[in-house]
Amino acid sequence: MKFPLLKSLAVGAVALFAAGSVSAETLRVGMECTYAPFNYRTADGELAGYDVDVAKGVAEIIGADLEFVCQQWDGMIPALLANKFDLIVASMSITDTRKEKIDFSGPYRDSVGRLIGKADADWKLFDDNGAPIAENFNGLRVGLERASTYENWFNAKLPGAEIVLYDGSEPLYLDLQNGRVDMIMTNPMKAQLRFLSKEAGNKFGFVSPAISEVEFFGIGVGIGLRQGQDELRERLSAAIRELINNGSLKEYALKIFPFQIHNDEWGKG
Amino acid sequence: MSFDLSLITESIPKMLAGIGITFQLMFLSAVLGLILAVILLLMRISGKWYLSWPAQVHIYIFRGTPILVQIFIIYYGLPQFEFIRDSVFWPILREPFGCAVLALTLNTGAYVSEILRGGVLGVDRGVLEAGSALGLSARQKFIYLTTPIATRLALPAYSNDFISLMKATSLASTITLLDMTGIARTIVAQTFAPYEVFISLAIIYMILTWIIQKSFGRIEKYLSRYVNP
Amino acid sequence: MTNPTSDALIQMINVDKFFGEFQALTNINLEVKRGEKIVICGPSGSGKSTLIRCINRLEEHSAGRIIIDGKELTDQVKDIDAVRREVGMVFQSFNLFPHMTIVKNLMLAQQLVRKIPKAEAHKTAMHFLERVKIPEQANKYPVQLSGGQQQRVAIARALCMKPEIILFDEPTSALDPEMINEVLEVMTDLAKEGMTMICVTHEMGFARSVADRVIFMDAGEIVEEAEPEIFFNSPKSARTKAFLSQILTH
Repeated sequence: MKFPLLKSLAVGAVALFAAGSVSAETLRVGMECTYAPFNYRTADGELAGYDVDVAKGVAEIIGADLEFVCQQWDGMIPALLANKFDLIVASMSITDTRKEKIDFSGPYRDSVGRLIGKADADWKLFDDNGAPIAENFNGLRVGLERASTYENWFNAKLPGAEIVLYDGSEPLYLDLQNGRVDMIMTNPMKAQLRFLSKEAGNKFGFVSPAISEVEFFGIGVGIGLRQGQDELRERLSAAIRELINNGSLKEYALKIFPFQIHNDEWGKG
Repeated sequence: MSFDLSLITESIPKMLAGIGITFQLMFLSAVLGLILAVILLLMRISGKWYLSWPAQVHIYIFRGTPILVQIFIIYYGLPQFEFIRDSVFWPILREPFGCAVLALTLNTGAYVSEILRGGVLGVDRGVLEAGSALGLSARQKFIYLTTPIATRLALPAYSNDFISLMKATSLASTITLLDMTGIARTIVAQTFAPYEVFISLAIIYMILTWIIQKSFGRIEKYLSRYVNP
Repeated sequence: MTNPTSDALIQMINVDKFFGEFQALTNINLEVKRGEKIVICGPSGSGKSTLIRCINRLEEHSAGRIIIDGKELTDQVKDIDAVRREVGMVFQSFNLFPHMTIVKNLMLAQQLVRKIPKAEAHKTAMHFLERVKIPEQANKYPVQLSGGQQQRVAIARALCMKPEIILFDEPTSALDPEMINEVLEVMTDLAKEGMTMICVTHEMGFARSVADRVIFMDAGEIVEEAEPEIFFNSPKSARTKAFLSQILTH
């Protein structure tokens, strides 16, 4: 009597196992999980955001399963190298320094920075062409995230500014409010959603145009992966191009912003 | 994984550029903390509840909570109050350095005051009675008998706390200060080489600990000259 | 409050002392004249140490009056200080200041309490170290001295303050037997010079040869009080007899 039952259980187990192995690979994706609106947890604890959508879109195209790993920003690349996960989909800009350690797919989001300061102050920091006036930055305290591309830009272009480095973006907003820094430079999309549109940020506003210097900020944001996986990198890049061309990327962006945040040129490959 | 030795030789001088901040944090907090500790101690042994009670509350709070949390409360929490931003203390609290020194001082003051109390309680009662019998006042007994004897008794524990304080200065890097740890974290974020950089950093701290230990060893030997002449 | 007319240096009138519920002294009445030497003996826990510790206010008496050289001990700090300037004390466990050299031990209170200049304090200190026959130990630390030497230093330290009275609280009990005599010798010399002394001790030979009066205490009371000749040869109380037979056969 017992044998048929055991047998059917065994068969079921085998079937389950087989089903699980149909989609060949599982890719572990590292992200901060606190970087709204790009990667963050919703009130239900679900991961959401532009990075998350891109990761899911790419995975669907290349036929992989996803597993998300939350990782602090300044340990992101070491964790990838230590094989804690396989991909970085965390709004990481593609830069030469980073490329010495890791590889990137093609870009899936553009990389710009904007300064935020007191809205009612007359800063006169940029000329009519949108170029910074270096001497007007002398002695200004500017808050930046540690090891962000903005830091390199400031060091090269505006050495007179006093740079204060933070871990994460929430402390940036706090210290701007508290008056410890005169302005901050950060991702404008995120700042708009997390700070400027909130009550805490209502005395503050953008005090610069969008700054997009490929030399410093890179061509944009890509998916990071360990070096020596050219085949995987190519599959990721192709998948991103497909997402651009079929309008998915634009759709992801419009969930959050009133504009797309990629360059259609990238779709031509 | 590969271990980049040249990165160590490159990053150590960079980190040493932050040793000044580390030393300033350490010595300033140690001196202010010691003053606070003595005040707390005098409050505790005053025998007056309205003095000893606040001292005990302070000690309980600062020994009972993580120093990192204390730093965050002082740095991020206090400025949320308008009156603090308007107060005369704001020029100090506005600076991460001021906040770090304040947090370290309040913290080490609580610990050291307990260490000193241990020393004071360890002073032989008979010695103090002899002082009384000779007509010394309470104040004279405290200055000439209790303080020197308690200092020797408390020194080994105090040297441990000093080393803890030295290591705790690294937490200042979490509130934007570029002490040695702050610089190290920035280098790591730029080079993505945590092992090389943090191991170098650890070595620097270890050398500092060794120097502090040796120095206190000498002081201890000097203060113990009457125990092992 | 007026002092009772008396030529006594120390007067204890109806003194009681309680430690919580425990009564350590019961209705103590004692007069000590200038130059008198008193030995107090009795079983341990009989209150003898407590009695002399009340005289210089190391213990606070609970009731009755204590008058030293016309000054009554009250809660007033200045009264206590005045009395302590007159009364020296030598402890069972020496209680030298461990972190100071011998000579510094002798100078500290002179300088702080009597405001004597350093040079003079040093001179006085050396004088009394000579008296107790250990001037060569002046610059050593207490821990470097034998018990007997330390106790002699403690006596010299008390003498430096030029007290009217010296209280001895079992000064030889913590000493090895071979060191007891050197301390007793110093005490005997002091007695010969006319110092007023109250000694809590079990050294009955010393009591016999030096004391003007011997006091026997038990359970916090003065049981018997007599000249040594009478005290040792014909004690009145049964408790005294029992105590003496115990201590003398040892």
